[in-house]
Amino acid sequence: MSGGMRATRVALVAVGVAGLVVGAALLVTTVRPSGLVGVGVWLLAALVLHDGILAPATFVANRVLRGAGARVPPVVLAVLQIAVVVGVVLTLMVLPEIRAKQLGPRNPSVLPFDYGLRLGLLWIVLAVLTAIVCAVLLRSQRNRRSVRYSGSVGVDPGAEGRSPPCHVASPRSPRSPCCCSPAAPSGGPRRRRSPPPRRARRPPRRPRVRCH
Amino acid sequence: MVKRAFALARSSLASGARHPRTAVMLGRLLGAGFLICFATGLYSHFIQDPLPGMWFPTRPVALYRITQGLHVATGIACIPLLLGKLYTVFPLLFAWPPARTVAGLLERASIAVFVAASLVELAIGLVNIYQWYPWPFGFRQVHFALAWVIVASLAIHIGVKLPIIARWWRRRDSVGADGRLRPVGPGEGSLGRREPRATGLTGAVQRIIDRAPAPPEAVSRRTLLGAVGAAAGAGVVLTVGQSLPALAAVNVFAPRQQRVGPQALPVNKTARSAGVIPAATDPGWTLTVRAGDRSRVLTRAQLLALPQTRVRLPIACVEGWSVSADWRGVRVADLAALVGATGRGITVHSLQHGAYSTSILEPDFAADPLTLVALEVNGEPLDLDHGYPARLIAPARPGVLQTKWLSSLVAR
Repeated sequence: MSGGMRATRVALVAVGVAGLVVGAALLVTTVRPSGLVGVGVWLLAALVLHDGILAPATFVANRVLRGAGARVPPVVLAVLQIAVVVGVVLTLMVLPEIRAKQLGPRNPSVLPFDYGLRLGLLWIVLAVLTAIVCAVLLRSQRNRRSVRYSGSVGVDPGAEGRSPPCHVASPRSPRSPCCCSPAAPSGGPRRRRSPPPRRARRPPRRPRVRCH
Repeated sequence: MVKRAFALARSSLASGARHPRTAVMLGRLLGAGFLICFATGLYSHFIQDPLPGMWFPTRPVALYRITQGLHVATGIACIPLLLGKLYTVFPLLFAWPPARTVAGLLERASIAVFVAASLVELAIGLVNIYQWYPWPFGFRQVHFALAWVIVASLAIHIGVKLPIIARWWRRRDSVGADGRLRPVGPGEGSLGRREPRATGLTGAVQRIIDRAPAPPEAVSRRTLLGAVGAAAGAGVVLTVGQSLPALAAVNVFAPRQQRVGPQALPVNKTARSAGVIPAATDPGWTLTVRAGDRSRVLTRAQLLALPQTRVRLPIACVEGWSVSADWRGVRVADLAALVGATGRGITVHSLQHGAYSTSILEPDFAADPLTLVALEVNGEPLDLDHGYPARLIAPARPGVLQTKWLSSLVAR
């Protein structure tokens, strides 16, 4: 580590510690003791809600979606996942707004919309948009595949002996994780189970994605 | 047992999206977002409660509209950014052993404070713009104090992680000639990897989890970045119309809308909730202008008989919404001249009592030709909820300082 970087790190941590003192002093001097207890409860609850509920739920939802979409091209699955994330994040943001409206705004210019209805419409629009994008993706993949197989070019002749490049799911092991990661050396001892025969007969997929 | 469970968690959570390069890409956006919120938040805080010697500009007239609109829109964008950043680094929660040194323990404690404060800050900020306060503490004090805690923790976090941040900051250092992300070496911020299959119960669980195919790493990564970007973009675009007239048509979820309210202006505090209806509708209402021993008492008719000035100024709320309006009334500078108070600061008093019943016009604001005692808005006499019989309107000030239902102007 260079001397410059070390000095920068020390300075950042020192500034941070000083800032924490300011923040703590502000809390203690401007918030009543009962309020401070409330702040503590809220901070703890935030950690529990995120680490204990939201993050595990995300993991389970992701696992279920991947399991259900095992035969869907990864790009289509990705579009589905993005749509779900957008819908869920906006829902998390709008739910308290719906509640606030139920409790009664202070005057008619506050919370003027029917947010529940709008949230429902958002999900419908998201579903329609996602369906269209997925249909286009599936169709373009099918077209590309039929072009490949009607022409003289079949399966890449060199593909069998090589480890598959990151962006191409190999016909032999479509489940093999990407070789970008050191954690997944292709052909290594942790190679996954061989795919079911139905998948082995499928032509290779070429999702149009690249690594960074 | 805990050790094996943590190893299982780390292994199961390993994903192409959980790469230090992704953490750096999301982290620098989130860090920038937090700093924007902090800077605009400090501006908003101190323009309401200035420290001695502070000075605030009067131009551009939309300055507060811009800073506070940016504060709220950036805060909204930070919600998916924070969730995405936490998703990326989630396996670190299951590090084993939890800490090796005292410094490591302190670092983890500071991360816990950082994460908790960030989550609470964004949550209470969001719900505050809905004017709902379901917490047992004062919003303003806690939002301000947590902002310091967050920015301080951010500095510590950057200081601790600086070598990893520098390692993965640039694309050309992160991506190999083959276009793939480089492997994560020792000390380069590994976010976990798949462990060899365990035996026993954890092995059985691992088998179930691993049954679902993992997408290619690049797809995982782009899915995460795409999801965070789409959620942040959607959150901002569907709400920013409350401050940006150009996007009012796609304002789907904001708590306010341009031109919704009496005289096409939203209202925060109504005359009824301020308890000023009898005093404000009293035909004998007058405005007193005073400087020391000299004072003038003016009826509304006398104010209307003075030279009238038209200005177009926004009303911009701390909650982020803002709307421009055409105001007509008497320049505060002209009224100050009636009592020989030209060039002095002025304290503006309202008929209402309690918080925000007075506000201070620093000399720059009092002398500004755009600062008015407004009598009309958008071509009509002020609505009672907009401050009838007379209100203050000045450039580059938050709405809470644009005092309504005026009773007197006193030179300082």
